[in-house]
Amino acid sequence: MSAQPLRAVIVGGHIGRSHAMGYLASDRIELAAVCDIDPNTLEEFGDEFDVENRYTDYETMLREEEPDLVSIGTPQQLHASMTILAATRYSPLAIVSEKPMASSTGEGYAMLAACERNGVKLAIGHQGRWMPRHETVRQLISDGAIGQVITAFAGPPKPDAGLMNIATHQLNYWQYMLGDPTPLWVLANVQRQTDRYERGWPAEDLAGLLVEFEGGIRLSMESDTPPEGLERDLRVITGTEGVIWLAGGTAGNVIRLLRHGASGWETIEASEAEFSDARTLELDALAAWATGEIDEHRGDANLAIHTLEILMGIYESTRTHSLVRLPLKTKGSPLTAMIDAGDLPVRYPGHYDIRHKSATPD
Amino acid sequence: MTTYRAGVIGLNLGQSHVRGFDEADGVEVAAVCDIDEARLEEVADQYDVPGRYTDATAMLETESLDIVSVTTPAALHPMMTLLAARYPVQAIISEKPLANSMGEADAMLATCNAAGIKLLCGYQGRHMRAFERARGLIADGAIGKPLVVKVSVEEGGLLNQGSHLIDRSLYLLGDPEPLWVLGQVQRETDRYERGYYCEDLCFCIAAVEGGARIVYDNDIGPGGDVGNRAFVVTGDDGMLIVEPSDPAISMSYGVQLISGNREDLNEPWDGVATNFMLEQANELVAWLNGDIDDHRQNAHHAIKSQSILMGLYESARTHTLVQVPIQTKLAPLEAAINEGSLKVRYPGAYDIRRPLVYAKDKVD
Repeated sequence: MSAQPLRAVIVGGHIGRSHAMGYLASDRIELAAVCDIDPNTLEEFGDEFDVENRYTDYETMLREEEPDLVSIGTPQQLHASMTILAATRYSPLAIVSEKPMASSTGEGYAMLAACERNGVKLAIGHQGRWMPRHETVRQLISDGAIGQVITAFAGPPKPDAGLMNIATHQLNYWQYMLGDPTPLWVLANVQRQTDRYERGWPAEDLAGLLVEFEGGIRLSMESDTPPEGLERDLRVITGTEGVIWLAGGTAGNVIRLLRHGASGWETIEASEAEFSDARTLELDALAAWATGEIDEHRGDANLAIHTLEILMGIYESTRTHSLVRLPLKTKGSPLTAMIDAGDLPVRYPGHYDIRHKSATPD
Repeated sequence: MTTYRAGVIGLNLGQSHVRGFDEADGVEVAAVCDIDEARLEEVADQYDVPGRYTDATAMLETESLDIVSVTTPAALHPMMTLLAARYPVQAIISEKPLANSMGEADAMLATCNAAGIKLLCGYQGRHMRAFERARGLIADGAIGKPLVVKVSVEEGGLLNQGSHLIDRSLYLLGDPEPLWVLGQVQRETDRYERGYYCEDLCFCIAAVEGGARIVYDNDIGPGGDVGNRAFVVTGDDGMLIVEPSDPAISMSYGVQLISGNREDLNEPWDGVATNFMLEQANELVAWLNGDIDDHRQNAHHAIKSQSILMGLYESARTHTLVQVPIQTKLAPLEAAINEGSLKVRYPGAYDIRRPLVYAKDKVD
């Protein structure tokens, strides 16, 4: 292990703020520089975290700073090019790209290949894997607390969630809770009748999906559907011998467990950790992974690529009216392909972005 | 006491209706009808039915029927039901599904309502004791507020097999109104069921009054450690599984409950085989006699599952979440095929039910 702290840089002063907080909370890491194309954002970002080295050009930052760790907090359509540029020309020890991994599986696999060939470790920022309630559920399932998992259901989490924004987190932590089984197929439908975007990239109005994982576990999930009396962010896992029930909203840290033969529900209070705490754990582990202290990182892009396969599988199932087996043969974005082909005509015109003005990082 | 005169149109599945009426008290099979004369004679001889017709109008004109069973292929249910409704009959049983479209199903219900005719749909699975028991447990709060019903069927298409399962999901939940449906359909082979379009596979999520979801799929194959045609109902205070006691037959189900508030009921409950067609006939006689207020196969319930069936296809056709009541009145699967949005990728027409002609006498 290096005695010196690792030098980290961040591109993207919006989501990058949470990375900065995470780096500053870790004594393994020094935040060396920040970058944003918008000078005002850059100044605010640099001032807030007291970082002197500031860049409006990403490659200049990489060349000048020779960082050990690179955080990519730009919109999703830039993740692939920025990851590949850093990995192939500047070979940092590790890169953490924000979620979703990329806009298409083709881009996702190119990111994996670029990092693999250049010996760069790549993680994707799905910090839900460090949230205590998800760790607890993973352990319960792995211990057989509810027997064999039959089926899992996730209701709509919050308004204007979006598959590529929130469902990517959900799918990724569902993989984690279920013990990281490989997803096998997706059957889904997506509605896009308004001209909706998320930070410049087309987003659907709503979606519903069914995904089967290795072992036959089926997860059904909704995104932006009308709750109709269903509690927001409801998640239930039904097994042959019991149920695990995760409440959403303010009661989000409470796990309820009902086992066959037990008397009534057991309530398990997970610790209060929120996404910001999870971010710190994620980035601290990134430093340990980068230096070889630990062999595995939960955010490893080789796990996140499955999440991207499911997301693109949702769009591809919609596009092709079929059950799609993973990995997908279609490597581009099936959503943009559908929009370009006129398969999802806008019925209610008016371009809008569900995250353009959001100041709250997810 | 009155003995009701029943007539049955279509003697493939209809044979089982004939048998049910034959076994029940208070009803006699006065006439049967089929376009296939050999089949007509065979069934009529077997049950000693006097009236034999190859034309439904002739039967209705001649026989003064009280009860008419429409047991033709689904595409003919609306026409035959509307035909029978022109005569002074008291009840019509249309086999499932009511129709291949919402408009036809709505018309069947409206016409029968206006004529004071009791309309039933052939969802006889509602008579199974296990489903009665599970519905009662759910109504009594044994699993708390129901959240999700998960059910899959390995084979047989949505309108043919799946319609039973969706109908029974609603039955378990106490027949709530459906609110919306989001689904997807694959039809890459040129597949039919008794002459009408059938999908390769499909799934849906349907939301019902109160917020519960029905998560359904057919023709994908089993997933996880739960059997074909098993209903897994999860609530906020427990779960129950209503599962075929013998996976080879779907006529006998058992119930397993894990309740957070009624641990005393948690012992598995084994179902018994149900004589669906006899139950259907007995309950109808009781309804016609005024002994009971409702028949569990009342089309007022079936129109709800019809909305989910049509909503699933319409959702796939339009790439939308489809709100109930459904505005599109035509047959959405047929429309999707005709519009070219469900293209056949592997050519070759085939029918999943044609080889079974005359072979079955059971609910499915």
